[in-house]
Amino acid sequence: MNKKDHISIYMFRNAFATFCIALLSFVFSLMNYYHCQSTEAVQRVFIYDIYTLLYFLLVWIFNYLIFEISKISYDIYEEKVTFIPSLFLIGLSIVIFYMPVHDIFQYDVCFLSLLIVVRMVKEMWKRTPELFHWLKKKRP
Amino acid sequence: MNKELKRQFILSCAILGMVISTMFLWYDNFIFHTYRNVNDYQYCFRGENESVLIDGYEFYKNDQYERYGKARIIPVQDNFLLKGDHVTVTFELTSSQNETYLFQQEFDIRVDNEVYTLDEVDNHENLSSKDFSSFSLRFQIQRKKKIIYDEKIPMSNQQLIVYSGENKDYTIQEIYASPSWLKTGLFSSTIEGIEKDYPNMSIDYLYLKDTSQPDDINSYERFAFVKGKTKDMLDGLLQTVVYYDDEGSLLDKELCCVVTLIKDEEKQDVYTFIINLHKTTKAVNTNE
Repeated sequence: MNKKDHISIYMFRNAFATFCIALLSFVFSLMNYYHCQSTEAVQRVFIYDIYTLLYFLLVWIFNYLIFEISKISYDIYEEKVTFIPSLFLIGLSIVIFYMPVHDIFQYDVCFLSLLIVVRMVKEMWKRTPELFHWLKKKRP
Repeated sequence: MNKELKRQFILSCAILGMVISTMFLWYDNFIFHTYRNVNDYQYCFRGENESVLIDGYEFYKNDQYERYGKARIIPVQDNFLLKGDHVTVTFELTSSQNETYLFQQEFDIRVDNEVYTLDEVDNHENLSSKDFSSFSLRFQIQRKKKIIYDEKIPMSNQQLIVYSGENKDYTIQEIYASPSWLKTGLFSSTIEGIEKDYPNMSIDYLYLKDTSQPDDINSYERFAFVKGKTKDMLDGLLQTVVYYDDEGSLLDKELCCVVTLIKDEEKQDVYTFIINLHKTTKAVNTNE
């Protein structure tokens, strides 16, 4: 498999993950509002009206871009990366629930932050394993 | 910093800026179309025996009212209802916990064989959809101070379909329909101050009678009409109920609304547009 194939697979994987995040956010928000089942909420996202669907696509693109920017930022500052950005994102995903924004964005920011944290920790484990030395310490 | 990474970063940020500004621009429209008002419950009952037909007995609750009634009573038997009869209609509702609620209405018959429409009455029972378990209607006729008819008529809960329609700036939602009954919907708009620009408005409800020419407005039959102040329409105060008495089921027909916003009726300064109605997913408990 050449490099291009890999890039396509990664892009598809990232697109799928951010799609799921956008979908979950919409479904949770609509279930809360209409007190309905998840199947009905999914219907409301995709077939109820075009305006909801377009905004869903917009949120998906937003998620994808944020995720890509987080990847690029990680690559730029690879040498300096610590756990601080991860802790900041976890803090943000908690604080967002106390901010006066629509619950769609609360769910979305929360899930997206968790996805970025998971990806960041995975990369740190792979590229800078010395950051995890505390895990490998043997008991006295 | 790697030049390629820097280029990607700047490009992504630029696109992100465009996406965020579009999200801001579309936000109000998205909220308007996605998060709609919904009734807490809406029921419509129908029952008949060899003497009388009761159609469109409704119970509903929304953020403004909890009401019942509005049924149409049609004598099937000739001379079943005569002038001067005193009729008592009692709807008996039994909840799943075996609690019984009685909703009584009385009226006098003004002409022989009168088709009577019950009033809509405020309901103070604070019901929920769990309370609609079994239902019947007791029909009593008092003639010359004697009870000449006292029957319990089983009522069936009608399967209601919710219709709505929209364009970019206007929506009509919460239109409930059964095969023979329709409750007009709630009108809303994203345009601020529309009630000042167009103080009055009307909405005609039409169904397609000639399916061969769906694009011709003459193929449609008007069967409901709501007219009043735009502000009252936006506040949901002008909902009404109509009956479909033609052949077949109303649910099999294509429905649409002609909305007329009236600036000055005398000068014929109006703005008219059509909104096609479509069946939507069930947003309320209408038929559990």
